[in-house]
Amino acid sequence: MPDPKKYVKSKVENARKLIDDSMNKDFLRELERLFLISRQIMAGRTRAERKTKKTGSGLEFSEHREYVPGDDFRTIDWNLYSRLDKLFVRLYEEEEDLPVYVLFDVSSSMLEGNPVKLLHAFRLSAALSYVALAHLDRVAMMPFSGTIDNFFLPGRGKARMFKIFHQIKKTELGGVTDLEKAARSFVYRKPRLGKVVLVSDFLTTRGYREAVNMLRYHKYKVITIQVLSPQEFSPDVNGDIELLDIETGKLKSVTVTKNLLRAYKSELKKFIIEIRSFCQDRSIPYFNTRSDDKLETLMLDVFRKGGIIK
Amino acid sequence: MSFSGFTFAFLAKIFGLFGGLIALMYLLKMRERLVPVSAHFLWEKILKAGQRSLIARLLRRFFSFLLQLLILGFILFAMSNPSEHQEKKEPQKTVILLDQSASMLTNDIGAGQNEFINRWSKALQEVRNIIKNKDPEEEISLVTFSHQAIPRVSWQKDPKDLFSNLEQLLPHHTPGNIVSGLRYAMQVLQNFKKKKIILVTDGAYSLSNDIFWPPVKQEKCKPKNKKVDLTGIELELVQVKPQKPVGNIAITAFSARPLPTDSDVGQVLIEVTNFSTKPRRISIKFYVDDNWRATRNLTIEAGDRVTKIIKMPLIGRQLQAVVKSMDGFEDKLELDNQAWSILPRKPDPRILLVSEHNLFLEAALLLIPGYFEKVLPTEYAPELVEDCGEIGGAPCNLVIYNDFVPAKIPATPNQFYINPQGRPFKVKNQIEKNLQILWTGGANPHPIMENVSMKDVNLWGVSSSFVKEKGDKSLMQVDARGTIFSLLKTKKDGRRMLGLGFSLKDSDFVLQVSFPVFILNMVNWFRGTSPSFLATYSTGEPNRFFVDSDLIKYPDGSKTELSGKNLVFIPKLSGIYSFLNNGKKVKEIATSLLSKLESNIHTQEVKISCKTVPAWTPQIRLTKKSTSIPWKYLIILFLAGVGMLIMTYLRGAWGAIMAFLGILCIALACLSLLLTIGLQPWTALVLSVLIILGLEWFTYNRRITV
Repeated sequence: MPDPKKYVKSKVENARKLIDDSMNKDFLRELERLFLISRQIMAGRTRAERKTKKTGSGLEFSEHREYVPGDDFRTIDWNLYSRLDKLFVRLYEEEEDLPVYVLFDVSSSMLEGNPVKLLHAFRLSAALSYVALAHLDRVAMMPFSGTIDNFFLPGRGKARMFKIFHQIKKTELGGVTDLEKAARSFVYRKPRLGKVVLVSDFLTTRGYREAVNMLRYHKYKVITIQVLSPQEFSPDVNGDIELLDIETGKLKSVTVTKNLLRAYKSELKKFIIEIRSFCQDRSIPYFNTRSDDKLETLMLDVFRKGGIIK
Repeated sequence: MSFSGFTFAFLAKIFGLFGGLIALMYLLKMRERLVPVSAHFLWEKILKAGQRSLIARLLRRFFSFLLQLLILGFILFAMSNPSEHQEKKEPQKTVILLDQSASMLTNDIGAGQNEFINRWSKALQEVRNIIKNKDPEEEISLVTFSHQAIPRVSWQKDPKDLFSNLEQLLPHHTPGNIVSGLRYAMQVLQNFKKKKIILVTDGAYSLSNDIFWPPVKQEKCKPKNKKVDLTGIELELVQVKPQKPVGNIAITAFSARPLPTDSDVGQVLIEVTNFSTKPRRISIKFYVDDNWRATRNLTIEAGDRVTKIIKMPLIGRQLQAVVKSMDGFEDKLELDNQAWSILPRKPDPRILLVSEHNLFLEAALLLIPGYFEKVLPTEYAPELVEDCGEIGGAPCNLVIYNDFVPAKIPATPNQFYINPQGRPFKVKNQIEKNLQILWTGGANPHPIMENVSMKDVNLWGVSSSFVKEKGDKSLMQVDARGTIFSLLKTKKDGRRMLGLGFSLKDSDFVLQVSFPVFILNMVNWFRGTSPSFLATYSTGEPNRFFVDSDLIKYPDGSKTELSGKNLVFIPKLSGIYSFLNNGKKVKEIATSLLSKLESNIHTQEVKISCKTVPAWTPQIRLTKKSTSIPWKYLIILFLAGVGMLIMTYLRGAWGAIMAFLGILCIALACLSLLLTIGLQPWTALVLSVLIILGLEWFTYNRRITV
């Protein structure tokens, strides 16, 4: 039986190598292509379809739009309501750009899978960051497992990507996932209000609910992306095995049978539905992706649903 | 069982190789594969409900390992191609030792309400039962014992032959001798390894203390003389006994003899024993030639015996005594209530005395019933011997020559010479001295010398010593300084002759009290009667006598041809035996049980060397030839297996244990059934392997999760 610590170490080294190798020109070209695709998608949309909420004080009036649940009642134009008998809210141009914070999970659990979940999460985070940068948003990409040790201020411009890559290279991988602690350390720094993209496998007992609720409480717009490996969807195991929890190092003897696998899959599905329901109930965009999914496919899905970029 | 497939050495190597591989795989399986996962919590949620304990998992693996070894063993056993019927091993040898003694005729085995059969019938039923339950390969020898052991059937497998021989047997009227039976059975079994004796008896006899049946723990139980050594023997018992003890009244001694002085009157000795637990009032009736003669009534205390000497007229050939109860007691053994006796033949003597006047001699002869005639030597003529006096034409059957020898020895069969001079006895030497007789036959005298004392007899004349020729016998000797003379009996040309080597005139013998006794003995001997005449013989005891007969007729009417004249005869039946020669009856003898031991019909626990002999029990066998399948046992085994498999669903270690035992039970039940219905062993083994595999596959997953 291999030593769990050594196993995790080897996994970290492997993931580090994969991430480092992925930060090359080809990847940048791919990101640029994704940006172009995103522009095409944005151009095809009408204003009315973009039900983005933009509220703020001292802003210049821009336009009206129909009221949607969740809008601030204070922005309702009651005069228009008296004339048209419909609720409209007044939209204002922001005086400042909204920063995008991409928080991606680098805990030990993300080191698992084939392809490795961490690589997929990194590429996804990088792609979102690049597109946002290309749309002249301020972007900060911050890895986390427990607390966010390396807090980066959001920057602007495509060239920012190189700095992000440089920061990622210095990031220590591994550790135990603690979303609540990560969210708490994020809001503790009081960064400017903006969008928070949370990329993780969410396989933790330390509640994702508390993390999301905390971000929402501090007025951040949250977007969740759950990354799982194909092996987590369909474990390729049978018979008497010993399960190693890669984060805690705990072992558990299990005799895997078809019935047990069926029960596991059912439990996983229930878990995913639970997260999705939680996000939907709070109008939080939720995306689920497998680590073997194509980046382009996911990005198109994200772009279509909107919310990340203008 | 023989094996015609691969050799054991080869199969052992295969078992070592594959068994080692299985063991290695088992050990490797113990090392569980490490599978890293992102988090446990999803697994823990489902494991809390369904996963078994660690002990159960270990046991399941271990039992699975055992089943794999069992499967390998079955396959290798099948490869050895075992077959039951090619085996050459020695079959079981069993001697059925059947008690054939007189007590087996006791009619006391309950066969219904107030109905009884005798012990012999019950014993035959038991023997048939033993034969029916025997192993097909088992060889049985049937030996009966009564007064001696008699082989009835030699080693036989076929029950039909044993049954047919059994039907012809009847119990003897003789006492039982178990030592003889066991000794013979041991001789029969001595060269075999797997040997057994099944003793079928009523136990109504005295067991000898000389039988040694190890192990013997107590010193007092060790026999002093090992007449029979049962070492290495498997001994079992089938005891035929009544539900409650029964009593018996028996004639245990019986004899008859005529009075020497009156041949028409005789003395009858009879002894009756009461073997019951209460005093009995009985009557004894005597019959002569089936005609009633006398009756005596008497009371006998419990366990006591009464002896009576009864004087009664005995004119006839056969005497029979019959004992009957007068107080309603039902005697269960009739055989010993009767006794028979043959009365001695008493031809009237016709005596011719050739002598000078001798009052002593004549007076002694006058005491003897019959005809007696005296002639002087000068008047003697050979014709007188052929025409004995007033009888008219009948020859004399005894001629006594006193101090006289005829010129020609007559043809008459019986002749007594007193002081013969050279003829017909050759004289060895003669002595003229005063002598005394010193020897008259010792402790076992000749019938002529019975009750005759001659130690005080004085001789003063010339005494002759006869030359002893072949066949002669000395009856009396006088020893004086190395000189011997004799009273000699001899037999020449079919004539019996007796010679006395001195003259009565030259001795005081005639003055002795024993002289008339001597004359009486002499006459009785010549006419064929003697005080030692046996009126009745005890059954089962050997007797030796001379009879010129070619056929013997038994009391039950059966007949057997004889050859030879010197007969050693052991009567097995009580009653009258007749010896015939050319169809003419030449001799009769009477036989009776007369055994205190055998008439004591109380059964007792059969103990040998202080150990109770274990009872015989039929064995259950599963053989290919068996036509009856033990469904009951197979179904119980199968259902037990199924039940245990159902209990597989139990949680914990019990589930794993039950699964293993369940599979084992079902596999064994199926293997037994397949063998019983006649499948080849290798086929049955392979099918059993498939059954085990199927059950293991079917239950393996169910044993670990819900």
